Amino acid sequence: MEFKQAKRREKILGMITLAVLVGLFVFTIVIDPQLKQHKNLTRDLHYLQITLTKMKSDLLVKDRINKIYSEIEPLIATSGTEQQQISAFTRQLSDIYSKLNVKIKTVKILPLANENFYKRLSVRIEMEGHVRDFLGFIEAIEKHSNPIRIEQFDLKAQESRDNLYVSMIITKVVSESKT
Amino acid sequence: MKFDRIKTEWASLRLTPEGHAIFCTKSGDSTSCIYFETSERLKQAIDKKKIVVKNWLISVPNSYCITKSLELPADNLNEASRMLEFELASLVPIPLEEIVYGCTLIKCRDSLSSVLVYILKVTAVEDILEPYRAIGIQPGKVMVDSSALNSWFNANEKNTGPAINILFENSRYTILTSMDGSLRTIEETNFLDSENKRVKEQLANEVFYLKHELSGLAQGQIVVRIVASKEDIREIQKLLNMDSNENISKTNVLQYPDLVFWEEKTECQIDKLHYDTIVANGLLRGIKEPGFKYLNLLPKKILKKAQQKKLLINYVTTGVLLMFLVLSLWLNFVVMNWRVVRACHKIKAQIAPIEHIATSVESKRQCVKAIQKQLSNREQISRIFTELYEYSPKFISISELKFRSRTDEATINIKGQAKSLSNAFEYSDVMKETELLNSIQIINAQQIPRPGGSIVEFKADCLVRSN
Repeated sequence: MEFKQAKRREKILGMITLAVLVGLFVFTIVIDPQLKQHKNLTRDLHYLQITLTKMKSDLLVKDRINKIYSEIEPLIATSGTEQQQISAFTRQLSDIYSKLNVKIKTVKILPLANENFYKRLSVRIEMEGHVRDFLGFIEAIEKHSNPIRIEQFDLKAQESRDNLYVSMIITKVVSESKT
Repeated sequence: MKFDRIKTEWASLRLTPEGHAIFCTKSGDSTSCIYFETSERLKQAIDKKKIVVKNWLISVPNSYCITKSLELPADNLNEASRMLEFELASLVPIPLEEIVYGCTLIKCRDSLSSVLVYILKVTAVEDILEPYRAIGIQPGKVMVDSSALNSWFNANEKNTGPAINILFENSRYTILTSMDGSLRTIEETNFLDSENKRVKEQLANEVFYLKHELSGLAQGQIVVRIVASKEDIREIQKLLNMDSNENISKTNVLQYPDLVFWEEKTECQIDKLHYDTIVANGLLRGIKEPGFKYLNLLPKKILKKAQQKKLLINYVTTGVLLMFLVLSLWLNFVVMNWRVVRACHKIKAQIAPIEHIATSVESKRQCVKAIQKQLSNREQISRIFTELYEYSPKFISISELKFRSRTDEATINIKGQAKSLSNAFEYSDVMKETELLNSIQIINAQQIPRPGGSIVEFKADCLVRSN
């Protein structure tokens, strides 16, 4: 059927449909890309504003941070590869438990967590022994000069009441290695 | 007289057989008629944009038209004009495609409309339009001389009753009768100057006859309006007064419209241009009258073309406006984005010189924060064990302990045994005295039979918040 033969109502509906389609087409081609770009740019601007504010506030506390950092730097400063850092960490732990009367069942190195400006090394240790020895181990960890911390601690009594099973996750924070 | 630029929407034009042009334009309520010695002069003025007219109005001589009055069963002129198409075959023996027609209303009463129909051949209209086209004018409306004359008389003197309008010139006279301002009949007579005296007598006779005809048709005083030269008026009035009955008629004299010259030092015989001036003037006065809405003697082909052109202009205008709107909207966003980009660049420029130092400070701050967190509450487990040993009653033994450290809190899950249920539930009360484990809650306690008695196994949870 030709458009000229259509009824008035059909013509109006046809024109409205066409107008809507043209409107959508124009919106998709002309307006929408600009809108999306505007949204992205506004987000970028917002991010930059936050970054600038943060940087300015960082500059204000620069001296204080530097001072604190210089104090803790020797604790977290490391060198060498990740493997070497982990070896050093396990060595530190073995230095502690070797002095105690505990039976080490497993020492498992957990995946390394890379934070923005530092790394977190994690080790799971499973051991058996007397409560007195565990307390000694815990105390040694807590008083260690390096930033070592027990994140998880599971204790289970064995059949022999004096013997305990302990599983611990111990973490250490180290700075990004200077290569 | 020197004219500035004339720009108007409607203007009427009359080209005389001698080649002169009379151009009429309206300014407010007054109209002014301008004389051009030749149509070529007018063309020059148009070409130089000294005269800018959107729509031109012209008229065709009465002699070119077949004028018929017709009664139609219509309530108004609109309905009557639509019926006219079917009546034309009975009025003129010419195919519909070869004629143009228009109508004006004489009267409308009791769903019966009397209309005056003007019919003329398309070829005749084309012939009339030819000289106008030669100077680049395509008229927007074509009317008839008689309707223009009637408009002029009505515009000069309002009359609601019957009227006889007389235009007397050197070589012709025209008599129009009208009712309530609507044209009824037209009579035009040409003569030689030598016959002047005799013609005036004839005119008086015709007027006398028309007066009697009108007095029979309508009530009220008949107004006789005359426009002629001073000498002629005197003679005509004298003749008319011979038979005049003041009760049925009164005579009014009207002045010729003024005619000004486009260029100075133009010589012409104005006396011979009165008819054309009045027609041109009347055309312009009648354009707004609703009675002339259906009187346009332009061929359908031209009208259709003009309508299509108008429609096309409308479409193009709408399209251009829409495009402008979209473009404006797009530009608005572009400018908005450009401003945001500029602001981004400005901030980046501020960031660049401090970025290195700030990043270094930030990395140190993060490390300090991480170390502080790592070192804070490190002795918590030892303290928990101490509290458990110090405060746990003798009838409670702990078989399992789970400690989970989180950002600013730690959770402890305990499994243990008690001698009785009451002992198990008392445990949380006992631990309330402690510093870290004061929120310990028994979440489950179950009595389990054992050889030689029973034992209660319980589960307890505790949340330790960092200070």
